[in-house]
Amino acid sequence: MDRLACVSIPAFELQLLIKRFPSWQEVPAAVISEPKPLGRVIAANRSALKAGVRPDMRYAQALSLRPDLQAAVIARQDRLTAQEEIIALLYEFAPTVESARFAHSTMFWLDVRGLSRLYRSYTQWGEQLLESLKAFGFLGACAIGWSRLGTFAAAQKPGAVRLFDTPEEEAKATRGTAVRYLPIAPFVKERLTHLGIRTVEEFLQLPKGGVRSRFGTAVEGIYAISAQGEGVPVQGSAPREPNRIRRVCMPSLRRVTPILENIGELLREVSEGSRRRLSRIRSITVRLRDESGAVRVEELTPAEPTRDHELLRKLCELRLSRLSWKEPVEEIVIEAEEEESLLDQQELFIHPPKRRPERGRRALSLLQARLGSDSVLRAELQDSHLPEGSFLWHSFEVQRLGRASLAGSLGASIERAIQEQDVNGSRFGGEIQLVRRFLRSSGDNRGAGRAKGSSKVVGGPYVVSTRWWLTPVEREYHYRELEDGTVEWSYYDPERRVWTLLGSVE
Amino acid sequence: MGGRSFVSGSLSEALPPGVRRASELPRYRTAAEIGVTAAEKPLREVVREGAGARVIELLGTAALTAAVRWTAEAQGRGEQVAWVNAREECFFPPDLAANGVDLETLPVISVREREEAVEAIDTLMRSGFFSLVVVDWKVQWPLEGALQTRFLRLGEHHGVTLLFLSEEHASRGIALVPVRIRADRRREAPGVYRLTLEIVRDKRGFGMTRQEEAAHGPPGLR
Repeated sequence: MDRLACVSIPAFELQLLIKRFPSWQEVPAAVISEPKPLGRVIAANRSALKAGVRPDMRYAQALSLRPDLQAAVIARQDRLTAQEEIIALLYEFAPTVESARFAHSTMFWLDVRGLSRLYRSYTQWGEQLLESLKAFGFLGACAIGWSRLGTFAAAQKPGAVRLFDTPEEEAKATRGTAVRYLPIAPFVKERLTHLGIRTVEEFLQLPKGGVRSRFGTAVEGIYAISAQGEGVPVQGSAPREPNRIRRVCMPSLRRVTPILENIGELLREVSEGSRRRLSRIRSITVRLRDESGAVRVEELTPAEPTRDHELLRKLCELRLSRLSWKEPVEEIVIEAEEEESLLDQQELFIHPPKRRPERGRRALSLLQARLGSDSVLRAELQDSHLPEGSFLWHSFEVQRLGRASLAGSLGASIERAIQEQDVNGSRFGGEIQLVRRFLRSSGDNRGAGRAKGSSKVVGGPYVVSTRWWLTPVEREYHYRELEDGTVEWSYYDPERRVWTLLGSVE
Repeated sequence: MGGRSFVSGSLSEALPPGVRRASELPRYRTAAEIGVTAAEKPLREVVREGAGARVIELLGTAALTAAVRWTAEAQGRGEQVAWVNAREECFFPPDLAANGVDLETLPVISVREREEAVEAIDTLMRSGFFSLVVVDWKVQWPLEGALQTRFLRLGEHHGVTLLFLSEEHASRGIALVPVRIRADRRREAPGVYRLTLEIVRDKRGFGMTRQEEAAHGPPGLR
């Protein structure tokens, strides 16, 4: 019998969610099937579980338990892309990788024959693999043994590597593994418990024909693993070759026009490659190397995944036409990041709306290409006591424009419900709040906070003291009204004895 | 370990310095108490529904607040909004969230110079996807006639409202703008303000010219 390993990524969508929103790590968070009240909770983190949120629960019910629950949908394409990236990483550790998916956990079997000669031990191999996975942003578990089922059942504890020295040891451990450790839906675990089935051995004794009809295809898949004969080799899914093209320019190119002409030709080939692979291009990376060896890298993202090489050429032209080169360009490399070309059948039948999201995405994409990738932004609130740290600017994800966000659909409707209170005669809780203007480069405003001329204090000083666990910060925040009615917002740092103007109330 | 004990159910002892009873804290006044009557229809909605009100100039001591309310209301109707502002300064995002703005779906185009601002406005309006484009760039740039005409035509053709924040002295050069609104604030009580919206130029004939709303200051402002 040949050795094989199983690597599992438990709660894969939940890990994807936290990877996308790192600030949700410590707050109640969940993955939902759709951003609607009737959407289902697919997975929830520990904070949410403590509050009573459970998988399969309706989203509205979860919100009633925990109104501050953060939730989002993980799109199928995002999941597939992440899976492909993990497979590419695993191929650095084994010659063959086979993937499977059970109840929101993602599993991989790896052929580890001969690897003991490259590492001190299989355990070391497993530990290095998990470290690489962790550096990539995912927590996984690894088991090295002799059978799919045995390694599958053992690879459950994140961060741990389980090694079976002999097939007998693995078989014994597998028989006694509790069913609750298998990646199956909670309702299935409940039914098995009612049937008195508690271990994997008892589970495998169920009649094969009844498993699918009673528990669904996902559970049947787990059952089928045990039915596979021993010695079936790991069936690898070959990683896709990147869609990359390279051209050495002879002679080297000094001017923008011939550079763009060459890029246009290469983009035509890259687009044709995507068409043959039944993919669409999500973004392109253009690398230009000049005769001194310096490499300039530009990344361009169209509004929507596309195969339109003219659109890509236009984006390149907008970005590169403003640039200049000291040395002639001697090599051009273009690499395309692709996604599966999914046909959304609903789009075939819906009459195009008057305001077309794809045109908005195209507009933002053009502005990003023309003004720079840091020119189209969105604000994200952060959890900080200091006003300056209470938000961050992120690059606006153009491809999400026009697709309802969680806040856009559910959160905004909740806000609207609050705003629709009758102001007249109601207990006024502050429907409209005055807005402050914020000076981004407030560091340059030091010393500007002390109002010149006569002014009166209209707020503060309010002392904020924080970060005592790192470098203590203490600031006194003030509002001052000037003679012309302007209300300035500033703070005083008593340690540095510096005033800083933050902005004004408008 | 030291500590103070209190008679159950009441604080009968003198409070230490800096500690106040909750009943002594200033409470928010209601809109009616400060004499603000809610209108049947907010002036913003009247202007929005007015035919051809495609370029609107906002100025005054509460212009930014008025623009943010406009944004929140547009989003509440399911419309898409975009902002254009200067790199050096911007709105304070937590205040927008407090006013009900969905930050996640609000693209903010951050520009360095006038030409970039004009290009951003033009591109956004031509897409026809955004129903409201807010330009928060209070620099002394005269909006010359050709630009005014172009934006007016784009607004009418694509059904886009261009709302730009202006300053008193800069607005004298903007002759073709059909609607100019002053938004001012006045403190009525600790933390409570009277927000006045007044149409100071009305080439479309809305009828309503002035409206008041109640507002409260950001945390810490009396």
